[in-house]
Amino acid sequence: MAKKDAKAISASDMQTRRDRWLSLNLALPSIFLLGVAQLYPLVQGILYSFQRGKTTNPSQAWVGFDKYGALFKDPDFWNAVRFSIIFAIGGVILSYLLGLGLALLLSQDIPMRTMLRVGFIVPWVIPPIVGMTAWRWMMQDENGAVNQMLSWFGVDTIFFFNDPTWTAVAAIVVKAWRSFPFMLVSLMATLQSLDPVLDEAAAIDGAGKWKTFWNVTFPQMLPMSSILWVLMTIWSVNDYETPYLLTNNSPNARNLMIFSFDEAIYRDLGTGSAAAVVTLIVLGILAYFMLKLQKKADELS
Amino acid sequence: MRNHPRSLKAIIAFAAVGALALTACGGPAPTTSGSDTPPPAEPVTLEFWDMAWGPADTYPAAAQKLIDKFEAENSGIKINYTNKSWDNWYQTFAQAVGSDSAPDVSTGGGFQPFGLQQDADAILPLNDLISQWQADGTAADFTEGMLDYYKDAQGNYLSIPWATDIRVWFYRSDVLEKAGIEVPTTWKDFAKACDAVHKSDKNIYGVADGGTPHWTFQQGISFGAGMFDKDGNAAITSPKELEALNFIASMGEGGTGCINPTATTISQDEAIELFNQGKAAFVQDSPSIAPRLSEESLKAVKVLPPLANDDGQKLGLYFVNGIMGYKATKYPAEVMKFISFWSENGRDLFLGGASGVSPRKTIDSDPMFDSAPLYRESVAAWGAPVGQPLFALAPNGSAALNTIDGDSTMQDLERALFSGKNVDEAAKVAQDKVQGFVDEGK
Repeated sequence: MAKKDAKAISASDMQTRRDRWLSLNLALPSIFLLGVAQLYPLVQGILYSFQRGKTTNPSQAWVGFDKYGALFKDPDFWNAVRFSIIFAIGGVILSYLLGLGLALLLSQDIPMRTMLRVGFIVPWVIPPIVGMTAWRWMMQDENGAVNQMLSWFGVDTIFFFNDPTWTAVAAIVVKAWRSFPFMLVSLMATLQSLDPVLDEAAAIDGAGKWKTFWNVTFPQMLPMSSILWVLMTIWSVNDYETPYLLTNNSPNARNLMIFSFDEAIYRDLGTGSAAAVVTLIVLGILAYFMLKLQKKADELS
Repeated sequence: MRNHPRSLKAIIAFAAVGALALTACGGPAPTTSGSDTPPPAEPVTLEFWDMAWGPADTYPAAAQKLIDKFEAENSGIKINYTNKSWDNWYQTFAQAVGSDSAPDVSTGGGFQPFGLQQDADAILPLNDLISQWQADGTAADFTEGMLDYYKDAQGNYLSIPWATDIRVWFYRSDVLEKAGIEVPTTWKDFAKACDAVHKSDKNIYGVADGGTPHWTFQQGISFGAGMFDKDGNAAITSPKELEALNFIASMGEGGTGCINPTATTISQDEAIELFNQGKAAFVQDSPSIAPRLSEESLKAVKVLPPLANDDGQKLGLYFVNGIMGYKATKYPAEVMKFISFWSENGRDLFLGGASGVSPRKTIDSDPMFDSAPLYRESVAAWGAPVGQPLFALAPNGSAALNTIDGDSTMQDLERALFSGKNVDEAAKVAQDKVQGFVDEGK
């Protein structure tokens, strides 16, 4: 009997190995193409950051870390870092709060819930050029919808794109508008996966809605929330479209992506590439710490 | 299946002989240029990238018609025509040259030949063509100084001008009349007029601007300065240039506020539309502004006569757009032949809606331009000798100008002027960056 079992197990093992080998072979061409498409530009970009060159004539000479030195002395780079941080943090917080609030609302049994769910996805599907142009028209002068609404409350016209602070506010608001649908969908799925028994138990124990949410519901949402914070921060730092299209490349809204591109294409390929490499490293570190945080949150919940 | 080694060998042998025969027939490309070049021995295809010089519904068709005419007159030369958008134009050509995929011939940005030549040695010198034109009298058909516009520091002719883009100031007589203001004759009066218009009606601005930093380019020249000194170094912090920058800033948010506050974000087309709607007294554009104005507006819009600076000089700005060949082409003679044809037959492109003024007297004197509203007056007022090239005091154009044309340095400066930032600080930032571009080319 044991010999028969051993033979059966062995045959099963062989089949598994064959299946794995087949799967790998079938996936290899895609992995290879993706690797080339992603690895090659990455490696080439890193190499450019150690060379002197322009777009018309890259790879002129090896200059070691000179481009990194020039980068860290460039005030435009630090302005881009500052704006990227403000834009990312502001955008993540606002879009998360909006997404969370709406997710909690739409988890209740309210009228027109389905229609509202569909409606709230719209910002996500509007092409960026259309959305950003519309927002620019709404914000850029005294006749725009935003200033018209502000005037109802006695607020003087704000020329959002002429002042660095207001430009940052405008960019964060628009970023949140673009991003909250993703937060909403993800958080709604998370809420629906939670066990309602815990909430009911908390209610029975006399906990109010806020205490139940803060002590029971939210901790369970932390793992997913952490992932969303990481992803949205990375996407915000990498967001070229929102600040560029909204402000027509205003110097008040130049983040690391715009800086890297402008520097690489128009001025110095090496310095632009160095900026991109620095961004990659920073985002990589950020992702690592955030994933550690997620692991801790997982353990807690 | 049986192999047929004998027939296979025969095929290979035939192919080898055929290849050798074709190579022998080809021979080296002829070194003469222009219209007297003999037809090519083998079929030639030239890649031609042409920019969007006119409306999408008329210009490409006019260009294609001209190409069909060239091909009919030059059997053996085929042109692959691509009409390129101005979006990311700098990147398009820079990457094409950088990746050895540049076309054989193209039109492009005003200073593109300087940039691509200095940065990448990519531009085909057209000295042979110029020499031929000087010998046969064609050179005399160009307005004075125009052919030398694209002459670099080494004396090479990098491009042939096919259109000039003159910066012209227009005004609305109805807006000035309503505000009770005379047409200004000096720059000081211009600033006062703008202020008075805006004070008379807060919804109407003195100047509508947007998109490009052309006003900043032009104002320095009008004050007798410019971005560069006579040695070709950046001069944005020179006293006269600073005076010009402060002049613009005095009308911005930090001064009288008579420039539209949206100038920092709107496009040139949107600025023209503001002017068209009567929401501004003055606007700067090209001689081809009329198609963008309503019939009603055209009754009120006039060309502003050139304004005098404090020294009594009347100076303005023009850009030149050229057609250029690329060194990587296998067919330099055919490229020069095509460039010569394109220059000679440019009239058809203007008929097709191309904006700009032809640098060739025989084309520009065509009666068809007489009926274009505001065109003749614009050219007469703001063309040369009033109009100056952007490199004004410097001896010639340079790659720095191509970088400036593509990147945002001067646009950032203009935005700073409009939005009330410190002029000296903004000028210093621009000065350092532009000097950096100049130094890169040395």
